[in-house]
This record gives sequence, structure tokens and C-alpha cells, in this order.
Amino acid sequence: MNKKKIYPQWFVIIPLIIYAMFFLFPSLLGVFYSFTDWSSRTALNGLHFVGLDNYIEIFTSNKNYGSGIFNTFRFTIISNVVKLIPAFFIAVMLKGGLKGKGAYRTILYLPSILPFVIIGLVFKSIFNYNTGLLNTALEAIGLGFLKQKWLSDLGVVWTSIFGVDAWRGIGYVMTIFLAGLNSIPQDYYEAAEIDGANFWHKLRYVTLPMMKGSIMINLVFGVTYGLKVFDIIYVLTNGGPGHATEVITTYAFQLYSNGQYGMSTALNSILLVITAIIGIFIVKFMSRKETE
Amino acid sequence: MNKKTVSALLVTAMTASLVAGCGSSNAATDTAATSAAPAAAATSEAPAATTEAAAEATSEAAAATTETSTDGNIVISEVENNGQFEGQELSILVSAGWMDNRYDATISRFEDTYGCTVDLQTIPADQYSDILQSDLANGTCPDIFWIQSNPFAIDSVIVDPENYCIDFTGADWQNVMPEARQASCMSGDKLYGLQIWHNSPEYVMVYNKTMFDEMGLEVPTTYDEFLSVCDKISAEGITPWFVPGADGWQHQLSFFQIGGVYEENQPGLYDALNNNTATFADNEKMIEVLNEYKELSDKGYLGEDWIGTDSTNMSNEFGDRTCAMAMANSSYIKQIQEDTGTTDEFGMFLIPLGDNDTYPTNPAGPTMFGYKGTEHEDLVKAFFEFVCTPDSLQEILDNSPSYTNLDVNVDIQQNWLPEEEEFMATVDKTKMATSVLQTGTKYTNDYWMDFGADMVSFCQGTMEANDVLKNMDTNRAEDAKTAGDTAWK
Amino acid sequence: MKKKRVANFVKTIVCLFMSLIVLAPFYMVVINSFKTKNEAARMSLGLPTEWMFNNYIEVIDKGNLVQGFFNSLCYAGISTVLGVVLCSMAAFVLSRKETKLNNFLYYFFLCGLFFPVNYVTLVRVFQWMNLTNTRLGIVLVFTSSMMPFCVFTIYSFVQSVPVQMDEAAVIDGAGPISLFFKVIMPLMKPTLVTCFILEFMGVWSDFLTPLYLSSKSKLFPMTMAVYQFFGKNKNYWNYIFADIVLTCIPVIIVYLLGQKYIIGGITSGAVKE
Repeated sequence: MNKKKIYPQWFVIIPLIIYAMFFLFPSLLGVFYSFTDWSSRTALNGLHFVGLDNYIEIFTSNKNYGSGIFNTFRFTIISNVVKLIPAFFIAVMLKGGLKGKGAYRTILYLPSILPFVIIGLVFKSIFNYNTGLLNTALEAIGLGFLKQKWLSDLGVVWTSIFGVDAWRGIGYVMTIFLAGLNSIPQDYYEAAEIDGANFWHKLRYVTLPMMKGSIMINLVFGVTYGLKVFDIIYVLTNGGPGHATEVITTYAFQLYSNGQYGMSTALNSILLVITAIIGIFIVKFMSRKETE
Repeated sequence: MNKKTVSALLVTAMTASLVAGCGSSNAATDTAATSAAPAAAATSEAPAATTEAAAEATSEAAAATTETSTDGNIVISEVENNGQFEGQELSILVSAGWMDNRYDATISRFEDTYGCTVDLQTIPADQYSDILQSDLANGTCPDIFWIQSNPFAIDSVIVDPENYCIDFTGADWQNVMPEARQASCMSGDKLYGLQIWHNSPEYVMVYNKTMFDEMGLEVPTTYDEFLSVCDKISAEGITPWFVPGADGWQHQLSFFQIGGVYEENQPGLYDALNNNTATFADNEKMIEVLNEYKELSDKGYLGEDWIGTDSTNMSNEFGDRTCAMAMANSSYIKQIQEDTGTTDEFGMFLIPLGDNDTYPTNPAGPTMFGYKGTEHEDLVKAFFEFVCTPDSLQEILDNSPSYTNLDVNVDIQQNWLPEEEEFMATVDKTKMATSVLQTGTKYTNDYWMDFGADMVSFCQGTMEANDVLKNMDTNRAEDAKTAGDTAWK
Repeated sequence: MKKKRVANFVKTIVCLFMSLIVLAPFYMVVINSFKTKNEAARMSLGLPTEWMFNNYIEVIDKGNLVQGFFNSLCYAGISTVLGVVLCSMAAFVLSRKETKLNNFLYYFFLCGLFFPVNYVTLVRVFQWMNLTNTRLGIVLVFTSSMMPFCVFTIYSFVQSVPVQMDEAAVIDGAGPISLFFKVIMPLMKPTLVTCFILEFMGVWSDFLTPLYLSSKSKLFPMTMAVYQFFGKNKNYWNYIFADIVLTCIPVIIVYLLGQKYIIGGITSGAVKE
């Protein structure tokens, strides 16, 4: 079989051209702007190459980008823990013979359909201290002492953000886990049971190893999402109260809004590099697992 | 949830913009009081004499700041229709809130008169500035576009009006606008924009008069009186001053709208700020105001969780009597009554932070420009003329349920609220000389949202009052440098 | 057996509880879409005092939803079909013909997962190519942006289709095109439909791309309409929610129809890792 004829390269070239032209090229061009003084005044002043000036200014600025970067990483780690682990157990639970699991799967997947704007609107209302659903419900069931200023108390605002993010994302993560679970042959479990394994043994020695694939997929997407998180924070707190929930992308957005396009792109490029390195590392790690 | 789309969206949102500009300019600009306000209000009772008296009073009040405006009734007539615009399409780019449905009837008549069509593109406020900048830079701008304008905005937002805007110098509709507003429409002595906006008191303190009467409270004129009023209201379990901090652009109004008090405290401050011979930092009056605000916050007079509360339910709070006061426009009174059907009466007073008694003059508002790269320059000009005819202006006002008047030198039927008239009668004309801080000083409005975020940090104890001010100085300096302002080295 | 019964009972309670939490906000949106503007502002869970069914009619009219619907359908439908077909072709060859170049190209496509979209430069590219204000341009942009995800997903699934199928087809005299479209694609149906559904949802909710790439409102998608009702001083919550309900319905329908394919599809793709 002539490999060259059966697998024609033009199958790849056509999509490649479209991808490169309409996606990658504008993207890279955008990165180029981070080395210029591109701003809202460029129309008058013209565009000038400034080398690494923007990057240097970011690292020496009095704005607390450091805390933004820290928040970004913290969000990435915690949000993934908060989503992946419960989603995994929910998937395990939904796999077993449970009536109506199709309905539950659908319901749990729904939140990802709602636009972020609406999620912000609805949850800001739910979190309202006096009239919001959450505090009112807590009071109704006698847990009134748990009432919080969900979006303004520095101690709980991140918890609120993680909560809404989990509300939105668990369904998607769970779906992928379910798929992975559904492919584990039942005889593996039976063999394990014969050997006297209980629930936890089965989990550890049968389920988890067979799920490496779906775990990795969720990790890649989860980490990428976490590092680039913007919408959920923007609609809930916009980086507030004060600057407590700023992440890299909210700072980039502010820079852009203030007309400092070059600096904004530089910050985005830093994020891009971090994301790409971590992302590619995970993918390569995953591919190595493939061959095993 | 498609992660790829999320990342696309994220960055999209990143390249999108402008809560800052929108928040700041809209907040500051939803105002529109010029020095002509008191005159107009005082004379609305005598419709016949309105325009003339208004004109005279205008020139009187205006004398404090600018020269006299021309006679009080300009009648513009529409361009004659010779079928020259048959079949053409006029595109308009506007942000949500600036035109909405108010112009629908007028646009419809315009289309019928000339046999053309109008493509009105209403862009979400958050994205507007970004779309506009992108369009201008790429040469894809619609025929007409709007910006939130003030005397400095054309240069900072449009940046290069010579290249982007049609030069309307000499247009007959120039004097439809009061002189104070013309400043927001001109750059370098050339006329570029048209600003048709209202002149109602904006972002003053709206209060529940009925409630005050029931509790035997008087309108406070000093901070101490204000504090004691809040005290008594709070004791009844009612939120004294409802502040929707979660909106991000409202709470800082209390600091900036009283700009006159800073100028009074230190005459020449605005000029000094514009020439970089003074700073926000270490300004005693400003620190005093910030501390007072924090005091109110600490005492819970702004609402138990004002930082986490947005303005969604504000009308209902008034209707339910769970709050007594809020910073709002005079037209909000009508809105509360319509939305909630309450029989309570409302009034207005000047916010006495820092013992302020100055009026928030703000000659700014959404302003319309013609795009220089348009293919239908004559059609654009015809539209501007059309909007300024008395019929159109009356139509626009009549279709604006939330506006009680239009600030134009044209004889139209205004709908001033009695509350507005009552309030304006109490305001001393000499206290209208200074415009609000965000409009009277350069580069300040651009950092509206940042300042608000810093105020929140200050109220939560993670920042000092002077640091809030220092940040504003730093930010303004950055802007000034980018603009090549010689006053900042 | 009793253990299982108890376990199932507990599971059911937990699932019901979670469903409640998930559905509460949805319920809020739906129920408030039938209220008056002021009632809707409270965003309570109560029933409307008056069922304002004509909120929906207002929204369809004011938000130009019919035109928006057809635009959205065009963008989401065409770009997704195009994207999925092209990506599966590419993934197929990349995976079967393992050369250094193809390996590099695979990672090249993957990079797109991390790269941000830059609209300003994209508009510039459009101008060079005279594609501004065209539906074609918008469709091409959507197609290209879905490539990283689709190539990634389909690539891993292709590996599970045995090479023997290819060989058998070739022996029967098939050329590359019929091999791909007649033999391989049908076998990959679950994964392809998965990608289709996920990408369809993604493109449907993307309103910023058409906003930047066109300056004519007649090209705007359905999802833009909600912003007609937001304003600094006027927020028609009831209309906003009605609009959201209308905008979400097509997406939910597509999801329900393809649900079985999604579970099946991601299964095969993921597990083959």
C-alpha cells in the first residue's frame, strides 16, 4: 500500500492554511505588538518599536501584578481540585445502576450552556446579602449564622468564585470521566472482587489506572482554562473588591481599556508563554502514557 | 463548555473593552447640568416667556464661566429632498443607553422623507469603545458614531479628529447647543460634534421626602447634619444611603461630583491639576471626604454589604422603603414612581460630604460625530440638520420617558419635574461655577474605575486614603506622558 | 443486596440535591422572564403575579431575533460542518502517516489551544483579503478557531480504527477520497458528532467575533440581542431573561439530540489515550 497516495498530504495542507491564516497569523501578529508602543494615541504618534520596554515595565510597575499572577496560579490549582475530584466521584456514582442517570447527566451538563453574562447576573442576585437566595435559604433552614457577604468579604469572595466556577464546570468534567469509566471492562472488576478487593481497592487498582486518559484530558483543559480565566471573575467581581480577585487577564483587560494596547498584549504574551509551556508539557506527558 | 471557545472568549473579552471608559464617562456624563440649568428650571412655569427668559438667564448664569449664548430660539429646517438620497443607507454606531428607542420615530421619519434606510447598531456598553477604536483604526467605521464627550474627550478618545471626523464648522445647528456644551463638540476651534442632552441635576442625593417628614428630619447641609440624619434613619432599621458598590462605577460619584468643594477649598486647584502643579495626594479636603465616606461605610450607613450589592433592585428598595437616600439623577424619581407605584414623594439635595454645597455642573454628554471616511457625507449632514429641527427635538424628548428636558436653544415643550424646579430654586447660582472633578480635570475620567476599586480597598482597610489619591496621580501622569503633555516631563 | 439498595438510595438523594442546585438558577431565569420589569428585578423564585407572555414577542421584535437566528444558524452550522470535515481529514493523515513533519504539524495545531485570538490584527488580515462584512469571512474565522480542539480529539480516535480497514479498502480498489469518506468517516461518526455538537455550541454563543468582523448590524448573531436590553439606567431584566431562554433553546435541542453521541464519542477518543 502506497502510503503517500492513500494518505495525501493535501488533506492536511488545506486545513493548515485556513488555520494559519485566520488564527495563528493574526495571533502572532498580535504578539508582535507587545514589542511596540501601540496605544490609543498611535493614530497621532505613529507606531514605534520599543523592544522589551513593555515587559520591563510590567515587572517593575508599582501595580501589584505579582498578586495577580499568584491569584492566577492559585485559581488554576484550586479550581481544578474543586472540579475534578468531585466530578470523578459523581461520575463513579452515576455509572452504577442508578435510575434516571441519563436525566442527571443532562441536568448537570446544562450550566455550561448559559452565557457568562447571565451567570454573573443571576449569581450576583443569589449572593446578595439581604435578599439573595443563598442567605435567605440558609436562614430558612436554621443555618443563619453561615450568612456571608459572599462577593465582598475578603475571606469568602474566592470561595464564592470557586463555587460558581464549579457549578458551571463540574458537568463537563464529569461527562468526560463518565466516558472513560464506561470503557473499563466489567471483568476487571469481577477479577478484582474475586481477589477480595473492596471499593477503595477497586478504585485504586482498577479504575484509576484505566482512567489515565480522561484524567489527562481534563487536566489539560482545566489548567489551560484556569490560567486564562477571565469571564467568571469579570462578571462576578471584576477583580474586586478592591483588587482582591485580580488575575493576569483582568489586569490585561484594564490595560487595554486604558488604551495601553502594547502593555496589555505584553501581559497576554507572558500568559501565553506560561500556558503553552505547561500545556505542552502535559500533552507530551500524556503522549508518553499513550505508548504504555 | 468548550475550552477552546472559552480561551477564545477570554482573550476576546480581553481585547474587548471598556468598562472603564463606559463606567467613568457614562457615570460622569449621564449628568448634563450646565450653568443654564437654574434658568431653564426657574422659567418653565411661564412657557411663553420660557425661551427668552431662559436665554437671558442662561447668559447670566453662563457669565460666571463662559460668554453669553445667542438668542434663545434657533429654528433649523431640514435639508430639502430632491431624491438625492434615494436608496442610500446611513449607518450609525452607538453605545447602549445613548440613543435606544428615543430616536426611533425621528429615524423613521428621516427614512420616509428621503427614501433612504438607517442601520442603527447599538453596541453593548462594555464593548463600545473597543469596537469604535478598532473601526477607526481599521477604517471600517459607520457613517455616524458617538462618544461620551466632555471638553477633553475628543482629544483623548478620538485622538485625531482631523482625520476621523467631518468638520462641521459653521453649521447652522451649532447654536442649538448652549455654549457650555459646544466646548465638548469642538477641538482646535473646529466644530465636530453635536450634543443633544438633558440638563437635569445628575447624581445628586435623591431622598424619600415622605419618610423624612415622618421622621421629622431636615435636609442636611453639612456633614455633621448628614451623619445625624443617617444615624436616625439607621436606628429605624432602614438603610440610610443605598450605594450600589458592585456596579463598580457608582460609589466614586460621591467623591467626584462634589468637585466644586475642592476648588472652593483651594481656588485654582483645577488649573493646577491640569498643569501638573498640584496633586490629588495630600489634598486635605479630598482626604477629609474619603475619611467621611469610610466613616459612613464603617457605621453601616451605606448598606450592610454595599460593596457586594449592585443597582439591580434599587427601585424596589425605594418602593419597599428599605432605603432612604441614593445618588441618582432627578429623572430617577419618575422611574421609582413608575416602577413601584409608590405614593411617597421624593426630593433632592446636594451631597454634603466635606460640607459641600456646590452644584455638580457637568457640560458633558453623549455626542454625535460624522465619520470622515463616509461615502455619504451629504446624507450625514442632512441627518444632523434633521435631528436639530424643532419637530425632531420635540419628538426625541417626548420619546424619552426618563428625561424631563433637552438642553437646547430651541422652543420646545419641556417636561421639568416639579421636584427638579423646587431643587434648582434652592441652589445658589454662584455655586454652579465649577464643573465636576472628572470633567474639569484632564486624564481623571479614564481612571474612574480604578479609583473606585481603590476606594473599596480603602474602606476595607487594605489601603490608606492618601494612597488612593497617589494612585490617581500616578495614573494621570501615565496618561499625560502618553499624550505628550508638556506639563508632565 | 440491601447494601446496594441503601447505596442507591443515598446516590439518588445526592443526585437530586445536586440537580436542584444546578437547576435553581435556570429556574430563576425562566420564571423571571414572564414577569414585569420591576418584578423581574427582584429575581425571586416566586411565580409572576401576572404572566407576561408578550415579553417574548417584544424581545423577538426589538432584538431582531429572527434575523439573528438565521445568522447564528449560518455561522454555527456551516463553520462547524466545514471544520469537522476538514479537521478529520487532517487528523486522519497526521495520525496514519507518521513523519517528523506530521508530528510537528500535530503539535502546531495543538498550540492553538493556548494561543489567544487577537481581533484587532484579525480585522487587518480581513482587510487585506477584502473579507470584511462578509458572512464567508466570519465562517472562515470560526472554522479556523475550532481546529485545535477538533484535530486533537479526532486524532486520538483515528488511532483506534485499525489500519487493516484501510488496507482492505485499498485492495478493493479505493482511492484516498473514497477511502476516507466511505470507510473511515462512518466509523468515526460518534467522535465527529461529538465535535460537531461541542463546536456548534461554542460558535453559537460567540457574539464578539461577528461584532468585530462586521460593521453592519444585519450580520449580527442572535446572541447580540441581549445587549439591547442592558443599559446604564434601564435594565429590562424580564426581556433579558426572555432573550436568554430563546437563545439557549436551540443549543439545548442540539445537545439533547446529540447526547448519546457525545457520551459515546468522548469515550472512544479519550480512552484510547
